[in-house]
Formats: sequence, structure tokens, C-alpha cells
Amino acid sequence: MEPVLVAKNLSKKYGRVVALESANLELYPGEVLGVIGDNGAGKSTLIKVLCGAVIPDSGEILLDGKPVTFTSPIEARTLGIETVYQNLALSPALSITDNMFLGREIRQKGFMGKFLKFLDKKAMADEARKRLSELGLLTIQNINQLVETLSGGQRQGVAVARATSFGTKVVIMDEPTAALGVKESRRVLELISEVRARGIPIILISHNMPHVFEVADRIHVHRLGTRLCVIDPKKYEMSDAVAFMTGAKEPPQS
Amino acid sequence: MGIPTLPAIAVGMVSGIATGAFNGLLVTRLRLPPFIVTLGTWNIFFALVIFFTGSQSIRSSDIEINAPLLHFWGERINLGGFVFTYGAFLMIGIFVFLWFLLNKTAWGRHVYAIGDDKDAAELSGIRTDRMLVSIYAVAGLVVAIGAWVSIGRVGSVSPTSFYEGNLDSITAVVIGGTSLFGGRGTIIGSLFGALIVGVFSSGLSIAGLDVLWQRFALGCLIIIAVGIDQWIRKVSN
Repeated sequence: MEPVLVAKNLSKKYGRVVALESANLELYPGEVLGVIGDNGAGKSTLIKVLCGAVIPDSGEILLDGKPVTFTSPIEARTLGIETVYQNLALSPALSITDNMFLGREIRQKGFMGKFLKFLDKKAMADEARKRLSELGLLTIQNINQLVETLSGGQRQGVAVARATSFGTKVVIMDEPTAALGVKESRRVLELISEVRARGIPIILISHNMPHVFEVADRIHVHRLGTRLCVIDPKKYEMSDAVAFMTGAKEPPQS
Repeated sequence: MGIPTLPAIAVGMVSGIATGAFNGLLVTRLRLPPFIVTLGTWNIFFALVIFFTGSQSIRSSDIEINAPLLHFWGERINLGGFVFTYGAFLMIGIFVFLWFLLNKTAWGRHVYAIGDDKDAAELSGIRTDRMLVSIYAVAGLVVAIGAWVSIGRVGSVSPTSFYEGNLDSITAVVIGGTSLFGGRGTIIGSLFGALIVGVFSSGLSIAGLDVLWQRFALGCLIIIAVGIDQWIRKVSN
């Protein structure tokens, strides 16, 4: 099976600090790839390169086998790489619908939309409702509720629904459970499984080992600016992963 | 300067847009705090106005003879015993237009998103810098229209009139519930804010209160209005 997203020999230096050194990554269709690494291992730089927030010094990114370059998260998104940021990048004072369609609103048909630029609020609300119910999130009563009235888990749901709604090829999730309580984290993990069930592969960055081990199909261990190894969560214990991450144990030869 | 009235008005509108956009460019390109940029350009533009006018006023009678169109919005109409200036209808028209813009178009939604959280808006795919310049330009245009209306209201033109008009408008929108931290506020709130400030100060004038104490009262009004707003927000949360 061909990988959806491939990163080859990515390097990035900040002055004399090497954040990435010929780092590789492959993401296969329909999988959840966990990315773990100690603080300062370069995993957030790796993710920022993949989502377009950081431009690498060298290296290559292939999407569906074709080399791609992007200089901003917007360009990456246009190509189908959506990112759910840790801070979610939602506007609390706007409604769920407004947030889901922020930057890609639907205009009314005909004169009203074309010349007066009127938004088709009904079409957007219907679509938003459909997306949320597909992800099993329709406990949210009113689609025109303001995002600031939602709980942390529900906000995460809105951000995920937005990320998976627009012909997305890859979803990157950065610490999706970091700010959530136990129950809400559980909901987000279910959400990840639902997105995977719909065939969209996910890169999951997290510090939370139990969460990564629970939902990831493969785990990419990042250390000292590069990929140390990829492990199967069914064959290794969490303690092994931590040992690889910190260098306490030699990684398996693959 | 001998320019016919209509082109002169057009020049005025374009200068409004241009000065607004200039503020926007300084804010977005140089990444300066908006407060500092507008404080700086406020003084710069004021100095330029004094320079270009030679600090001279134009008398109302001269305008009436040479460019009556400048007085257009000050013309009065009697509707069932109530006297309105055309400017009042223009104001309602602008409020309706801006209401549609803010609530029914993507541009309007983006204004709120940027005010709420600029970084989030950027990550959502909004080109925030371009948006900000356009917002400042619209503000500049509204100011230019306001200047035209004020010629009709006052009659004569003085380079120093409405020098602190921006402070009055900040007072009005704040009283109207617009958050100084961004992302919250409605056009209807601003309308009522403007009405409150207007009615309040003309009421005090009519009551014969000293200008000094009018200012004092307006200052108290701002603090009370914002205080109530904060309190309501705290209670409703």
C-alpha cells in the first residue's frame, strides 16, 4: 500500500540548534500514526513542517506520491492537510456554523450571493449539522450556539468536524486531549476512531502515552531531531516506548 | 482650490479611504500596536490638514454660494411636525448597510473572527492582514462621510472642528457594548451608544450645564456604562 503522506530527509536549523535532522515519516491510508518524543526532540517542528507553519531548510514532502511545497498552513490546507491545533483556532464569539465555515463560507446562489456577497446561512447550518451528526456529536443542540458556550470536548469536536469536512486527505491533531478531563478525553479518542473509520488518516501528537497506545496503529518515536523507530503498540509496552524516547534502551532494528 | 464640488467630494472620500488604509498598513506591515499607530497618524493628519488649509476656515455663506452640495446633508425636511436633516437618513442608511455587511457577509464574519482571536483567524484561512487594511479603509470612508455631513450640520468649515470626534465615537461604541478587547459588539449597540452620548450631551447643553461639567458627566457615563457591561458579563457567566 502506498503511503498518503511521506516526509523525506526533512532538516531544520534554528541558528545552531538542530531541530530536525533528515527526519522521515510515512502515513498510510486509514491509519492513526502516533508521534511521541521527549520535549525538545523536534516533534513539534516536524509537525509544523507538515502543516505548513514552518518551512524546512531541506527535504521533501510527498502527498499521494506527488511532491508538494507550502509556505503557510492555508496552502497546506488547500492541498488537503488539515490541522487541529492545540488551541483549536476557533473564534469563541462566533457560532458553531460560522466557525466551521470560517474562511470558506458558502454564498447564496445568483445575484444575492454573487454581487451582494450574501451568505447562505441555511446551507452552512445544514452542512454543519450533517458533519457533526456524522461524527456522533449531535448532542450539541443548537448549531447556531456560540462556541464559547461549549465545553472543551465539544469545542474539540467542532474543530475536528471542521478539519474533516472539506475533502481532507490527512488530519494532524496536536495534543487533542491535553486540556481535557477524563470523560472528555474519552470522547475525543472515540472521535479519532470515527474519523479513522471514515478513511481519513490521522497523525496524532500527544504526550499522553495511554491515549497514544489506545488509538494509534503505529507509533513513530522521535528522538534528537529524527525518527528513531516506528513501533507497533501491540508488541511493545508503554515503558519500552518511554525507554526508546529517552535513550535508555536501544530501539528495535527494523 | 478651484476643484468642482463633485470631484472634490470624491477626493475627500478617497482621502478617507487612503488614510484609513495607511493606518491599516502601518498596523499590519510594521506590526505596531494599533493604538500607537492611530495616535501617531491622528497628529500627522491633523498637522497636514492645518498645512493644506493654512489654518483658515471657510465661511458658511461662501460654501452656500460656491458649493451648496457640501451642505446637502444639513438640509432639513419636515415630517409630520418633526424636523430631520437628510444626514439623519444617511446615518440610518449607513447603519443598515454596515449591519448587512457585518452579519450577512463573509467579510463581516471575518471582522468578528479577527477581533476575537487574530491567530486563530489566520489559521482558519483568513488573510488577516488584508482584512485589517480593508477594515481600516472602511472606517476611513465612514469618517470621510461623517466629515461631509458635519459641513452641512455646522455650516462653515474649520480645520480644527471635530478634532476629538474620534474620542466621542470610541465613547459611543463602548457605551454600545463593543468590547475594547475585540470580537464582541453589534451595530445596533453602536447606534444606541451614539444616541445615548448624543442625547446626553445635547440634553445637558439644553439644560444649560457648563461645558466643563458636561465633559465631567460624559466621563462618568463612560465609566458607569463599561462598569455595568462588565458586571452583566460576570453575572451572565
